[in-house]
Amino acid sequence: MVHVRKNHLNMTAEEKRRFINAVLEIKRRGIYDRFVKLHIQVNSTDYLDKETGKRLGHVNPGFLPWHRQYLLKFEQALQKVDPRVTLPYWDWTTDHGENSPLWSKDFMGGNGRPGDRRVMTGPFARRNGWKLNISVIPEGPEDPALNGNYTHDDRDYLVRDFGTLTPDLPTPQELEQTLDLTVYDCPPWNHTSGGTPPYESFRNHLEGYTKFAWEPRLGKLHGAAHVWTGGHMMYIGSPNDPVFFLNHCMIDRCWALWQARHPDVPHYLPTVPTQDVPDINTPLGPWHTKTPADLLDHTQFYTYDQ
Amino acid sequence: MPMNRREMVMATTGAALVAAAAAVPLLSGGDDTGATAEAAEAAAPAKAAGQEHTERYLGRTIRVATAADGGGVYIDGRPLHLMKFADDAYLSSMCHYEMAPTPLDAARRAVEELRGAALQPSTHGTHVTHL
Repeated sequence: MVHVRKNHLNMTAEEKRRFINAVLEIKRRGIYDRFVKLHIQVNSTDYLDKETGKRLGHVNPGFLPWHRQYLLKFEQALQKVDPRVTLPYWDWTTDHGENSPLWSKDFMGGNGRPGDRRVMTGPFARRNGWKLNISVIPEGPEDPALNGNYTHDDRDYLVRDFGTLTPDLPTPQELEQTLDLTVYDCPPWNHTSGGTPPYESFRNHLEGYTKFAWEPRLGKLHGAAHVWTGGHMMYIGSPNDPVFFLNHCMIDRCWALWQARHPDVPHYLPTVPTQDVPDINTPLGPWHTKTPADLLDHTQFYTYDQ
Repeated sequence: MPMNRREMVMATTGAALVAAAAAVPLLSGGDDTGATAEAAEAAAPAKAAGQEHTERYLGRTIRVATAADGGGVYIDGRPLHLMKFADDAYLSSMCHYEMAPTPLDAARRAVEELRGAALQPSTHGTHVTHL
C-alpha cells in the first residue's frame, strides 16, 4: 500500500504539524541542508556552459524524473523521522494570494517584511530558528559552483517577496493548455524546445522557459511559482525555502496528470541515446540508482489525492 | 499596471537618485554629457564585445569582464555565478528562473535581489564561457 500525497488544503491540522515537525527535525540533523546543497550542485552542473555539456535535471527532459527522485529521497528522509508524513502539494492554479492557509504561521509562514524581505512569521523565520547554512568557501581545484555551496550570498535568513516580480500565479486554463500537449519534449532539449507551433515540449512548457504565442510572458507554471514567491525561491538555492518542495510536488503531480491524459504517447523522451541529454535508460545522478524508465510510474511509490 | 522589478525597487527603496541616473558607467572618460547616452547604450543588449564595462547600480559596483578575460561578471569585486545558454539568454545564481538577455542585465538583477547583501567570496572567478 503506497502512501497518498495531498493538497495541503486537504490536510488535517495534525498532518500539517507532522510535516512541519519532520522538516524541522531533518534541518536540525543537517539532512535538509544536504538536499539544498545537492540541488545547487546539480543546478550548477546543469546551468554551467549551457551551449554544450551534459545536463541532468534542469532545462532538459530530465527535469521531471530527476525531481521525482529528488522528492522521493526528501520524502523518505522525512519518513525516517515520522513514517506517517507525506509531501504536500501547492496547487497554484487556484490557491492564490498571501491569505492562503499555505502561508499561515503554522505552515509555511508569511511574506517577507518590507525592505530586506526577511520572513518574520512561521517555522521558517530566522527568529523562530530557521537559519540558512551560509556557503563555505569552495576548496580544491573543482569548479566553485560544484562544491561547498548552500547559498551564494551572506544572508542567513529566508527571503520572500510575493507578487513583485510577477503579479500573477498560473490559471487553470494555463495548466490545461500545457497538459493538452501531446509530445513530452523535443530537440534541442533545452530552454527553446517547443517554443513554436506545434509546441512539442510538454516538459519545457511545464518548466516554464518557453510559452505559447498568445501568452504574455515567460516563466509560467513551475517558473511562475518560483518567481511569484520571490526571494530565495528565485535563487539557485531555492530549496532553502521549504515551499520549494510543495511547488515541485505539484509539478510532479502535473507529470502524472499529463500521463493519464495521454496514455498512448511516450511518457519520456528521448528514448535513444542522445548527446548531453539523459535518455530513458540513463541512470540519474548523483544516485545512479534509477533511470527515467524506472520513475515513469509514480503509483509504485505514492499516489495523489486527486 | 504592474511595476517591474526595477521600478518596484526604485519605488520601495527610495533609490530615486539611482533611478534618475539609471546606471552610471565609471569609465565614461569624464564626459558628463556622454554619460547618459553611454548608460542607455549599456542598457541595450551589450554588443560591445571586447570592452570591459563597469558601472554603479543601486550603490553597487558591477564589472563585466571582457571575453578575453573570461567574460565573468563581478559585483563589488566578487564573482557572480553566471550561466550562458545562448547569446541572449543568461541565468545567474541570484536570478535562476528567468533568463536575462545580457550578462549586464543579469548582474543588475542580481544586485536587486541581493538587497545589500554580499556575494560569497570565491577564489576561482566566475564561470561564463564561450562569450
